[in-house]
Amino acid sequence: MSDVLRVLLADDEPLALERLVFAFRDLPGSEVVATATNGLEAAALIAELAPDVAILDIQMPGRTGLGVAAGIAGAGRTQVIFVTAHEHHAVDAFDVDAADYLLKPLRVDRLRLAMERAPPSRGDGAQCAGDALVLALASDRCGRSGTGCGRGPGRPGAA
Amino acid sequence: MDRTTRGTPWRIARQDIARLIGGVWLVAFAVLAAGAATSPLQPSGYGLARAAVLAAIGAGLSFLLWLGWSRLSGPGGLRAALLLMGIALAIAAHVQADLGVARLLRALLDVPMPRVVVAGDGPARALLMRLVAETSVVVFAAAQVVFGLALMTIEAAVERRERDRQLDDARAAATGARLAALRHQLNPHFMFNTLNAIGSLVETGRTREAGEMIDRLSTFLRATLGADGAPDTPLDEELAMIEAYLDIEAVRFRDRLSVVVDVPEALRRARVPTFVLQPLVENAMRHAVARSLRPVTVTLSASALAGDLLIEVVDDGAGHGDAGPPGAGVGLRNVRDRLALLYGPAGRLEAARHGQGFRAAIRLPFVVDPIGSRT
Repeated sequence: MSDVLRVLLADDEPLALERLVFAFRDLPGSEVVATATNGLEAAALIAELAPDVAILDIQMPGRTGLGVAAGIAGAGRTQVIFVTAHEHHAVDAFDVDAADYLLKPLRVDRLRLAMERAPPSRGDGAQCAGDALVLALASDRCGRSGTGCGRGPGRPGAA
Repeated sequence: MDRTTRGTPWRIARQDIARLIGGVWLVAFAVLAAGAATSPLQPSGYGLARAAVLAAIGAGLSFLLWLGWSRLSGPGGLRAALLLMGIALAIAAHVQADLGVARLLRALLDVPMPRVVVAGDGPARALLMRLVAETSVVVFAAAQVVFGLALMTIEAAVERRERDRQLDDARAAATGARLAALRHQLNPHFMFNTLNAIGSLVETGRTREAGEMIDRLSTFLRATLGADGAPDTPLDEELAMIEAYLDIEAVRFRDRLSVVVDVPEALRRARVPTFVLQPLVENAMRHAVARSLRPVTVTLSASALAGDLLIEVVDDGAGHGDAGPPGAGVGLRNVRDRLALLYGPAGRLEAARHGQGFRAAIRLPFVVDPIGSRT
């Protein structure tokens, strides 16, 4: 597994995208490999580049972030972190196995935490991808699913 | 007077009419009875009976007057003139009745007819003197005139109250629109995205642009938070708020949004319902700009049309085909309701697809005086 996470950023608002790009300059251990300004472009770039993490806005023209995430298929898939101004898409995000769900205005410390939690996209860590969401939604999906993953940043394999 | 029935909103309630007629003719009866009691020429039983019958006839005549009045429509001056004529007729009829009643009662009660000798200096004056002496024409006239005046006064009050109520409704609707605008500003999609954009400008060192964005947001918020709840506002002020809003969206969406505002100077004083444009522009933003892959132009224009003001919000986006987010139709319905409330059938909203995009147009009477001052 590579030390550097390859990241795709997608947001239809130029300033929001620029803010994400700017935030990733200060995040060690990750590299922005592509940016997209609509859902179709994001889906095409994910299929082409297979980044480790895709940071997706939800409301985008062409295809919503949720639609893009649902279209990511197969093992070793790209982990999705949503960044949106809406709170009420959190349950939908859970449905597409999002790794995390961040709210705008973007907080860089929260983004850093999400990236630290984002597991390598290969291997059994994928099952725990929804961990942060699980915490956010006060559910115990991982516990019920019996994979025995821990919770929060301190769990095995997170470092 | 506040029990105006539905269907005849500006008419006086029946109970109030009954009370008015009863009151007026009770007083008239008292006057007639007192006059009879103090008269040495006739027995008190006859006097009382006559007063009662005449008061009842008077009440009936008043009722007929009201029936005619309440079915009469037309200019206020004409109605008042006709009412006066009606009152004169009623008095004449009452005098005739009085003479008949006197004859009848005297025959029934066996009271001799008095010999009244009236000396006058002319036939007309003699007739008047005789009427005053033999009948209670003065009481009848006073009672009917009081009744007529009360009718007009009460109806005016009912009308005024009804207009006030409509104005209150309009104010309440404006408050509702203001709350809707406020909710819009405080909803995540607009507010947090705008703050995120400001954060982006600050972090990337574009502090001057960030300052401008904060100014626009302040202008937009102040227009709403500072609004006094008036049902309407000059088009100019409404445009200032909308332009602050669109300026923010233009920064957020950059070259995906072009805005064209085409409002002639002469129309900027026209009154429009407060916050009426916000839902229309917001729809264009949500359904066209936010969903379109290519740049969208939103055009806001106003024109004068046969004494009316026509305001159009047109976009050339392509996002209107699908159902849209829940609540998208609520904005248009609210606009339609407010126009109907403020202007009746003269206020209209047309909303339909327009080429690839969408066109929303409101039409309302062109006026420059605030609502409430033109009643």
